[in-house]
Amino acid sequence: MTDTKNKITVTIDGIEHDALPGQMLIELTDQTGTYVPRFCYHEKLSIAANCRMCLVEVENSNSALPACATPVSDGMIVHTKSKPAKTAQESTMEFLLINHPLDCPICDQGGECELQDLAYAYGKNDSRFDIQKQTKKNDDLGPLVSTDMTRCIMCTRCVRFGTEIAGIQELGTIGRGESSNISTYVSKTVDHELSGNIIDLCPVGALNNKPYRYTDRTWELDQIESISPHDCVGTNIMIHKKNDIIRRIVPKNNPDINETWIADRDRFGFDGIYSEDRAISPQLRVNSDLDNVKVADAMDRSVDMIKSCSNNGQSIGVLVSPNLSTEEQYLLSDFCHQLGIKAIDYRLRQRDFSEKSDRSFIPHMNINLSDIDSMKNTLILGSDLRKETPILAHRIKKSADSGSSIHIINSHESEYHFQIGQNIINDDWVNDIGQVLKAAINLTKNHLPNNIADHLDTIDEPSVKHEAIAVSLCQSKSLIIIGIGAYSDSQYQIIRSYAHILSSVCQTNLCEISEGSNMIGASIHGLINESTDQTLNFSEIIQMNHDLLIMYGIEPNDTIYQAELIECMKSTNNLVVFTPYINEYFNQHADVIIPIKTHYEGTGSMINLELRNQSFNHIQSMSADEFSNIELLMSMYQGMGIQSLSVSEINDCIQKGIETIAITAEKISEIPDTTLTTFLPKKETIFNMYNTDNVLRRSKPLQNTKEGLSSK
Amino acid sequence: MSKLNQVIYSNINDSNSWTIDEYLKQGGYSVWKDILADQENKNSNWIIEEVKKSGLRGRGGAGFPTGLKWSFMPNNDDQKYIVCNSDESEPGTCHDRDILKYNPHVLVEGMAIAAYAIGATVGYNYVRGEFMLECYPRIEAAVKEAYEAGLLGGNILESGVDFDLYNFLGAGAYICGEETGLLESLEGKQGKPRFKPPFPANFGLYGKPTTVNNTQTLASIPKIIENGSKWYSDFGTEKSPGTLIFSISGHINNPGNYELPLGLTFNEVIEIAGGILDERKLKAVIPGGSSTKVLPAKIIENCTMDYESLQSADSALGTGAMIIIAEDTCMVELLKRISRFYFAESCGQCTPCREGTGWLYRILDRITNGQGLSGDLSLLEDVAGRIEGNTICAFGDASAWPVQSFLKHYHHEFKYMIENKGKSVAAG
Repeated sequence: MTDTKNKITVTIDGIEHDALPGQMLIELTDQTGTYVPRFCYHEKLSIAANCRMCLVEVENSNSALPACATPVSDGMIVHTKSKPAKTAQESTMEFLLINHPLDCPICDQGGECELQDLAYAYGKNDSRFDIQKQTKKNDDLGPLVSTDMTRCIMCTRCVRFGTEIAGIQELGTIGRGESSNISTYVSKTVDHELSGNIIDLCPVGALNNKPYRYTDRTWELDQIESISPHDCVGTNIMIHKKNDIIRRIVPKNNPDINETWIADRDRFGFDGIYSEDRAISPQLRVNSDLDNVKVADAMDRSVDMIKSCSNNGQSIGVLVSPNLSTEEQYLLSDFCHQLGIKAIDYRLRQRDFSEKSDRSFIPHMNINLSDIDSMKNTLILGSDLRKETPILAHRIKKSADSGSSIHIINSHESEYHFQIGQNIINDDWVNDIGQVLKAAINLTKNHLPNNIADHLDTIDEPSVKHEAIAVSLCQSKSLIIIGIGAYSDSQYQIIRSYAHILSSVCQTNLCEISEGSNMIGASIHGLINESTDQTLNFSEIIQMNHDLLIMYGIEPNDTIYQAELIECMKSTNNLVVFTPYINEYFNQHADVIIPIKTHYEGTGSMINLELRNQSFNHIQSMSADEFSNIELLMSMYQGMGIQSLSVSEINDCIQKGIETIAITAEKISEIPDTTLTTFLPKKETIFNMYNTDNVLRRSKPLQNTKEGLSSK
Repeated sequence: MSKLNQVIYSNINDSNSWTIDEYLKQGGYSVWKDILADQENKNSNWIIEEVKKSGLRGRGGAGFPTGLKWSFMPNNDDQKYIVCNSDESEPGTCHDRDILKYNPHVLVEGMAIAAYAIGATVGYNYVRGEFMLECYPRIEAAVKEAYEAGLLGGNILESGVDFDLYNFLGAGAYICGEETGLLESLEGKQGKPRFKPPFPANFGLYGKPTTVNNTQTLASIPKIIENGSKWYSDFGTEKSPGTLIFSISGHINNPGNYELPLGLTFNEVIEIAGGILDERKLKAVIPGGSSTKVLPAKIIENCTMDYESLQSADSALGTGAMIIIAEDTCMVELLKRISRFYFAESCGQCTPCREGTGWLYRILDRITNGQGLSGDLSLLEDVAGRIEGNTICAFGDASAWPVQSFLKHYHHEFKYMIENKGKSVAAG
């Protein structure tokens, strides 16, 4: 509003307001707090103007105009509550209700239904429509979204979501007039990773949450703010609970992170915590059987096991989930540090550990998520982006929609929902990144250290495609993304070095997608012990014979080293597992099983890929013999007779840690001499978005989706 | 009879009038060739001014001044399109059908000139689906002939002017006659009108500046340029210049298309069409296609057939499709039939029309079935009033106006039928 030349004045209900030319009337009324009823309008979607609920009176217009599609003009005089406006709005309401079933008492939307709410304000007590109502056919959209299309008011928000947000149209309108319906046309399920958002978008009960269906009334639910633990984005969610049981999850609007969207795994993943596999009682192996015991007994036994390996912790291995809260990670890291345990790691999907020392650049993103929207040139390296981080992929799609160039270098094709510029798919794709780097150096005439120059001499000359990517990246507002595919690749360190150097040469931003929901939290506190170069990595740890192996929050399916980990569990003398779930391997090999809470039942904080520290706090009543994860860890400290920081002291450390990374993060500037040959063959890892952690793996609705079934 | 068929239909009775040979023999394409040869004098502005001066108004029903519409096109290098609306689907209207069938080349030439005037290099002729077998082959052949004669394509007659013309066959939907619904359909989407603004002149086909004109409008252009704007405007009245093709149907002795100067009296027009069928007495007329408001005999008999006269009688000239209704016709049944049409043809995009047209039809249906209720007439009026003006396109108004006008002029017939359990006044 600083530009007074462009300022115009619009009078709404007798009050003058400043407005911006080109702004739609409804944006102005929303800004100024004048409510205009609407159904089809949604600020994140294109304007359809089809529901006609937002009709208002505009002076000098011979009919009522839709506020959503009427641009403001200087001197415009608008009445939102005058007789003509009210008549138009009430007319629309009457039309909407004539074919809408009166099944609110059995409709899940009841209580949070936009049609129901507005019917109180704009509807009549009786209907003048005494003719038979229409009914419509329902499509089966799969395990996530239920359909009651007779309730549909054809606002087409779900359709526009498909074309504009999801980028893949799964629903459309078919038929004409009264016979119009929303349908997949050819029978199929909705499979998009963001498809659940149509549940929130639907203003009526036509599209609803299928697993939640017929369970509760919304007004009986308690709402708790939280963070989704299924990827490194830190999606904000609202947990809806009743009697301490999570009934459903909906998005929490955070314009800086997920806007109003959440991925399907953020919405439906929680079902996994009610799995029959939950570890309920602590167990100890007596002879060959596992017996239920008290927590204290299990803890004592664990402590004894640790104590009996007294050789400075050299014979103890600790494997930790990257999804834990930063507090848990801190306590585990510090515990091992104090006991001299060097075999501790959380990198379940990393294959190439050839780098040892250069950890100064913890994988993260050096811009904010919301900055991605305005990026002009993006290069995505080794990523099934839509599956790895659906929300980040949506940001990339937004930038693509506004005309930016997106280039891809990967070992395999994956489906994208945006226009791709250069798409290099190649078995030898790592070399392609080197060629882009070479092209960028030729382009910028950058002087490089000899070792890099020597290395690049061994790489093929860049092709036109590589040059095109280099030219693109050297422009302003560019970004390089390193995906989990690259992270899991056997040449990860080379890829990472190339990407970092390329980023420095072209002066781009850099985003490294990390595995799990809080790998950065783990990295900050050095779950890998930085103080010593004798730290062992995940692949080394599982190749060793340990006196004692402690697994915290992970199970074999979580890692790409599944078979090797199972072997390690077999061969270790003693196996202590802290786990929310029981599985066949624990049943066979664990000596102590200590149940822990999942993220959804605990309290703590997580750091997302843009280094945003977010806390979650689920107040869950616990019985007297239950302990929080933090309490369990603290009791380990006690048992070992060592000191721990308090939670508030830990939080101070976390904050300092984040600040340190932000200040000291220096990009990698060297290319590793050799690639480490891991004991695993180079192989393709198929990234299944519903198999990335132990909770998702047990979410029935997600496992019944096309993606879930594909991993069976 | 000298007044008949002087502009577009001037060659309609000639044998093989649809072939390029016949059209060229009669001086066809001379205007287009002249323009191409003398682009300096016959430039875009000159053509638009001529069309403005001729007073030609859009013949698709709304009567918007054509020259003015052309002048809305932005003057920039953007790709522009000319689109011809041959989706003639207003009930009662069939004049474009004969243009496509008997004089397709005048449309091709008209579109070429219009494209030149607005700076379009590509044109589409959107032909009604039902014309698949009858008209489409003729217009398709005409375009082919014009290409072969070098009158369409790139660098036409070495003039540096490009114009490519394509025919497109619709799938038979009334709503695709609405210009933005037509554009959507042309883009391969469902024929659902867009909300306006933006208008097609700014955001039209594929988001590019586009002018959509009716077939009859574009077919008038070659003669207007050839003979001058004054020649054309002299045909009609001062405010409604030119000729209009009246499609006269219903209770008339010689139903058909009659191209006549605007401003003739209603009785003159009826006389030309041979008088009311079987010398029955005139009861009413729907003067411009089924969407326009019905006028009882005593009103229309005092009207002249032009824009102003019918407007002041609270109806409209529309497409000039006159539906003649003789005495003993049941107005309730007639309205029910009209409402059935709008119910069936609503695209279903916006609420009032989607829900309201079916409601209107069902009330009328129960009245004719003898189940009408005493409150039905006020309900009909109220529902129609709630559709009118509240929809994305003019279809909503088109469905409401017949109901409102029939009730206004023939309220007693509806009341009688409700009170007499479905018996019509007309049944005696």
